[in-house]
Amino acid sequence: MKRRLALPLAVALLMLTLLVALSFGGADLPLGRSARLLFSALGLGDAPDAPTWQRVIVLDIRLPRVLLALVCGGALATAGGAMQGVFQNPMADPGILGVSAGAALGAVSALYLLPVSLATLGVPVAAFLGALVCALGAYLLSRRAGRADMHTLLLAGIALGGVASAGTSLLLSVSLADWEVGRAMLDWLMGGLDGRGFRELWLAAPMALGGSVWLFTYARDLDVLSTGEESAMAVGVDVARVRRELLALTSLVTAATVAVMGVVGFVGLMVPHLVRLWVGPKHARLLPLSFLVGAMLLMGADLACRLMPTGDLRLGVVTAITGGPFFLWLLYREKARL
Amino acid sequence: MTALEAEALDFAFGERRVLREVSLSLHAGELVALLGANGAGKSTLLRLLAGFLTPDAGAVKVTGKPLSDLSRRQLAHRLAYVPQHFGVDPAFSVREMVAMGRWAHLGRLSALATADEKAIEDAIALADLGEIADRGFDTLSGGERQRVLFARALAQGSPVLLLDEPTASLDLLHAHQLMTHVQSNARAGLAILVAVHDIALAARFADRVLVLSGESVVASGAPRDVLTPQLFAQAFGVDATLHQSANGDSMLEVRGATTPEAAAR
Repeated sequence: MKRRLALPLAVALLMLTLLVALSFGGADLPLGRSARLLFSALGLGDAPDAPTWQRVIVLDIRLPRVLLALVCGGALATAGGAMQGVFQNPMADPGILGVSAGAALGAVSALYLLPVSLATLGVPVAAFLGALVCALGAYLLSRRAGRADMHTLLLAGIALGGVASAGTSLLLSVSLADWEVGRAMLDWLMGGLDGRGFRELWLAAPMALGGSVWLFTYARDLDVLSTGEESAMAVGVDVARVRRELLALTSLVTAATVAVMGVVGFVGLMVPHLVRLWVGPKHARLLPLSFLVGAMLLMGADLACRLMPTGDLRLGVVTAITGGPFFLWLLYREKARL
Repeated sequence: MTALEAEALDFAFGERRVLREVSLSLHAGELVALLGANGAGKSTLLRLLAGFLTPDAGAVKVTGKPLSDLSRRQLAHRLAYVPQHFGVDPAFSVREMVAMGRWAHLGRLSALATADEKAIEDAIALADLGEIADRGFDTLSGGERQRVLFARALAQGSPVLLLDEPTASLDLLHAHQLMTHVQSNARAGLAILVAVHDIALAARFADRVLVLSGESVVASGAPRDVLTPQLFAQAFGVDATLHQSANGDSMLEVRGATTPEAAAR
């Protein structure tokens, strides 16, 4: 397929996914009805024949959740694509600096320490801070002679992530006696968008969306960086500075998404790979398309969760169940090429 | 004007001293070959001059400015560097790789301007890459990759060019062609320092040769003046003679490793 058509095609598919995600769930609506309701909410036209219950379902209940899936999925995939460029490693993932594990510890700590009334706001804020503390810690630990060595950075991220996970397990086992708290913790750890609404959207969207767009502007630097450190320096890139900025930006973006929906794995790893197979390694195409495909994937996965009548399918489970086999396929494919 | 100047460079990897008090100057329009046995420090010297390594003592000036005062972007405007290889095989097309040479000329969001396009196409034509311009870099042979990296450095449009063994994996024809391109770029005004293994090739094309041996520059001058049997024995440990015709065609006759007596002669 022509690479030039990829972007318009992905935008069209995203719109379609958005409408499907708005139309289906506990009650099913025709796609046209959801589209008209969406346009009316944007002030473009009206949907006079839509009963109030449909308006409430589509615009008040589903829309924020679907948009949150869009923003978070897109942001995670963009961050993953950028991380893979920074580390020149196709197995890099946005949670690589311990961001996910740090967020989990932050969220679980908040659930343990804060009264229930403060949890709705306290948990995402604590998760966000936990993620940033872990990323910053890994960065500072790996600094030697003024610049971060990539191998040390990876190892420091893994080590700090391990410590944070241990802390999470400890808090969880201490809390299990209190079923309500333990349940809330497990709920958060499994990742998902149940009960998320406009509040979470406003919390996460500015940083996730703004950060992703900002990452797009690094496309050319990432291209050069992915050809090797000295290669990038030779054509004029201040590699240490660009890496620092990219690490900060991807960590912020990832932290913002993890804070509102918990740890949802594989999106940041899988999507950039898939898109790279499709449009090649140029980040000016790779990052925006990763955003769109990641957004679709998460909207679709969330829809699958909502369609499950018993409501016990979790978002993180869906992405891991699809992502794990994909990852294996990728490994075999890489092996076959050698 | 002196395009590139190094003054009394000292460099050691930990305890192992590689270069001691190495000085050199390179002028616009000049093609200089850097010669030396394996491990004599040719690559290290080029990497010091390109700012990848910092000397323990001494200083480098690029077009009159101290290297330490220049940002990487400013340096890229003045000096281009072609390594032997980067160790990564990205899937970018040849054209995309060459276009990366323009990085320092582009703003964060600006598209390629006409001048950039021209520099890229000229470099592709000059390195004879027109037919493979749309192929993936990762599908090329070692020699083709070296030509791509050379084209990328040309596209950079800097007055000083450093090349580390650009002919190492080229066949005879492409090695000759590449050195012809390098020479014509020097004639067009670039200052070029190129590390080469092939002494006959260096003698054929270079205006001047610099010979590294025993941590420092042991000879500098026109190939026919410098490349004497004594120098071959001293710097390379071989008993050899360079034959050069009036039009510059060069042949190296190597009779064998130097015996201690021959080295003493």
